[in-house]
Amino acid sequence: MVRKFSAVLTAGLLSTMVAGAGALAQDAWSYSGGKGPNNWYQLSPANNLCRTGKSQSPINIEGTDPAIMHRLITDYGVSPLALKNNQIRVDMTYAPGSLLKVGRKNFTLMSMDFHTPAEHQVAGKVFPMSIQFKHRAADGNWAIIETLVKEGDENLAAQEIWDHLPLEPGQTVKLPKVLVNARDLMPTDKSYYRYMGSLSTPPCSEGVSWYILKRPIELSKSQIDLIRGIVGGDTARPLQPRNNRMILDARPQ
Amino acid sequence: MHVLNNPAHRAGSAVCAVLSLGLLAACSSGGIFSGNTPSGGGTTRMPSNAQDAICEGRADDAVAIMTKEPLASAADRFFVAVAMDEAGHAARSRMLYVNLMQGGSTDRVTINCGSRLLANGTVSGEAARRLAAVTRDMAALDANLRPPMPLPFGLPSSEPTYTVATNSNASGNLPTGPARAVNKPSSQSPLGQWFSHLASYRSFDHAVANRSTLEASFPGLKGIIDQWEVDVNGLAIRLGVRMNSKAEAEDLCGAVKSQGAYCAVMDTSK
Repeated sequence: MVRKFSAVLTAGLLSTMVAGAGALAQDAWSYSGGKGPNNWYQLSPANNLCRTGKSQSPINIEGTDPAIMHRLITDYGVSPLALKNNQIRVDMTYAPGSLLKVGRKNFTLMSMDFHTPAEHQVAGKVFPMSIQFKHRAADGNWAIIETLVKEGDENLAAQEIWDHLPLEPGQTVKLPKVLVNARDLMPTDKSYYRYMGSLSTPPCSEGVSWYILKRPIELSKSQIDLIRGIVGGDTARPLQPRNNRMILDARPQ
Repeated sequence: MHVLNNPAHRAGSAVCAVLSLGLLAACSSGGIFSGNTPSGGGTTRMPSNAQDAICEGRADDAVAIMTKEPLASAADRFFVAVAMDEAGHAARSRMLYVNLMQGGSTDRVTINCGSRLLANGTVSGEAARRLAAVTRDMAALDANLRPPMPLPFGLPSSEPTYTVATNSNASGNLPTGPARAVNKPSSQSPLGQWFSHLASYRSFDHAVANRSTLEASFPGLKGIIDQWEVDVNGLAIRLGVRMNSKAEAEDLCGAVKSQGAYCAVMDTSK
């Protein structure tokens, strides 16, 4: 694992196009300490919902109701690799033009980010990692798909990204010739749990459509450890109260 | 950004919206039945402990309270549906609302949380209103509630057409089998503590459909098979006979089991 980490480290450093060590944009909050989740609301008036909101995320998915749901149609194209280590977690900005269609709703894939452990739990089960795909509609509404990750075989699609992960805080990696498709980081079976929640980071805005994919994908232990190790700790907001929200268990049409 | 429609607020506002004209002022100023105003004659109130649970955001507790006892009346089933609805169990409550609408009960019910009037009207009317609200909410969560689109017939087959012999007398019900002789228990009562359990179903449709099958199997129980709705990892509808005497419940089950069918005595007070 150490050898692999070194190899990835080297590859990552060599492939770094921009190493903006001084450009630490997202340092106003964190996942621990004084700027951690319990204090997000104190960091800015804009974060008030982090404390007062009644429809916050993440939650434990349980007590679901079965329902016939629209399929998730992930009409994604490839995107040049554009990663950033913002000290809090690693994000990837996605190229414009990739769409998520759910019934009559259309959302554009904006970015994806990696969380260790997964933010949502399913019947109390904690997954070691998740990937969140953040989409936005023309009216500004957010839709987030969370792919749960379990430990298993090495994921070759993920490895194409992992070879270039920005290891340094503030580091950005932009590789126009390395193309990835977000769909490769989702299971083939896109059956999902559905509820209304919030952004799981400040300002915790509500009205976010969450789609938690039921089938986890596999990443190897070293792949999961690397993403956790880069930011040096957990990158998951604690579970929030359900508050009697509806959680639908999508059955195929 | 659109802010989530909290189910509790949604339900209240939906009722207020539906009751708009005459009750608009009441909805916006604390509800027409707020305070100690008694309900009208013949109106069934939700049991106070269940209503308190709903009003305090403990709708799951309300479901547990309401399903402890057999639910004989349409009003009781409506209260369970509302409790499930408020607890976020939309699909289950939707099923109950549909059943209640179809039942057409004109019994009056009320659920009042002070500033939120959750129901006030006939069972079937209130079920219809809440059904509309819960359907709208499920659709907002991408549930596909439209009936399936009719598809064209496609090209005719060049293969020979095969026909399957059908029984023109088939009723669509499950085979009933031979009628079994059991006697009607003398202590049978809709309020009895002891329940001779004959069958369970996960949906009202199945329970309704199979009640007649049971009655055909046990003609002596025709008209007295009761249903008991419980939460056992989800809604379960038990069919059986309620009675006051445990000994008689055991006798009935003994008679049923001696003829090869299932039966179990249950204490509905637990």
